[in-house]
Amino acid sequence: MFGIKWFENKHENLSAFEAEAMPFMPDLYRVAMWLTRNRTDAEDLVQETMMQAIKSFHRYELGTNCRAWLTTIMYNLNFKRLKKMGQMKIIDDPEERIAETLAFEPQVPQNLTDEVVIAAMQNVPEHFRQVVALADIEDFSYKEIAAILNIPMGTVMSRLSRGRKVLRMELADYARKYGFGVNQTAAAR
Amino acid sequence: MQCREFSEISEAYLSDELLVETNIQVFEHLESCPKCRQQFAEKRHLRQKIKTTFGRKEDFLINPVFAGRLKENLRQNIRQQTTRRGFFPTLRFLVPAMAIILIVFTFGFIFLNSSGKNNESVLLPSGITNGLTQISLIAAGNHKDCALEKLEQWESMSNSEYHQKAFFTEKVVDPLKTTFSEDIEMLHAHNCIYEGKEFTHVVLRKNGHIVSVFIDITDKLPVKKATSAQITSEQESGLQVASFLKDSRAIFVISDLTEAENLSAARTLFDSFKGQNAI
Repeated sequence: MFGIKWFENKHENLSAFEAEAMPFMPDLYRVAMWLTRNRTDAEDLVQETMMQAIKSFHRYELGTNCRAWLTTIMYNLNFKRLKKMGQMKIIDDPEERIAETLAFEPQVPQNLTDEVVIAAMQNVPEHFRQVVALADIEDFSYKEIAAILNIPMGTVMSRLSRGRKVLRMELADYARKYGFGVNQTAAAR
Repeated sequence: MQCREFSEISEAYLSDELLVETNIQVFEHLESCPKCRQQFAEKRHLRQKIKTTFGRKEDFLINPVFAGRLKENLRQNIRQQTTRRGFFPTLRFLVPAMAIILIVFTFGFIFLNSSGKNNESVLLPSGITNGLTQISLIAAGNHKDCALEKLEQWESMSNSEYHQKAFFTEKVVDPLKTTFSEDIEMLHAHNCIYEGKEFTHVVLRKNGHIVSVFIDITDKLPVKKATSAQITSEQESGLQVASFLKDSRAIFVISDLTEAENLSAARTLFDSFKGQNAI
């Protein structure tokens, strides 16, 4: 009967949640840290995301990218959280403004320390950093990033390209300041 | 592929987002261009460096205690949802099942009720039936002791005026006259006590037969309104005893008439008392 079949499907789906979604908690926490920059807020955001995911798990199609689905939920919840806190920042054409400063591509230093990379990443503007983090740290595809951030795929591509350039410039600045890892001839090009 | 073209798609190549055919062109270009190869190697190295740096940074690692607690909360939530969702589909089947049971019960009740009217069978709950039977015995004894033994006394008093004579004439005598189309005479109406039970006793004569109508005014039987619409019939010491309930009061019709006649008298009185608020 329809009622029994419906119940069995729900029961199986909820059991699948444990296998499909729960293993991604460390990845979600890492993204949450990017979004909140605060351990307590990140934990709250992960918890809220997982609870919301349980409620909406019937909408998830088994076999698709569960990590991307969970990350999308997290971004939506974070958007609401920031809106509630009045911390939503609207930046006018950040791509255009920053693109003007990217006249050339600096050479990337070779012997980078973790601290330098972290400091440089923190100096990358928010819009670009989000895309760079999702693509280069979390390994999401352009399509998945577009869905998570709810922006066109072309915007993902341009933000990623420019975000990487900004990061390279930041790293080149560090190298110049502290005099490591950069071929001076190449840097002067 | 030229260096400029490679520069435009190098980010997509780094993210592994190019078509297979384009990948082949990029690969061929990198094979032949040391400058682009060098630049691309730097980009790939940086990407790898970012990944490993943030992958092992302590702040970005989930606290195992938090993770364990959250997993347990989630499991509990899943169990609750499964139980809750399991309950509602059950209701989907319970509601129609209950509706069917209710319909069967209602029709059964109506059927049994109507058959009771035709056959005058005993339909009261067993506890009440037993109670009625016990009082029936007392009432039958009282009929003999009071109505039959003191018959001459009641006959002599039949024309006298007394309290509630008009009431019983209207509620008992007149309806019975209508039912039987013959003369019914009320000899007397009084309260009497027999074996510790007090009754309102109406003594009647129908075609030479003495008929007693007893209303038990000592006790009220614990009966619901729905079950009070039944008339029972039994024989006690060669007498016909029909009984029914009105406002939890037991009412008996006792005579040496035929069972059908006695029941007919009881049914007439049942209808007559139906509109009566209290006895």
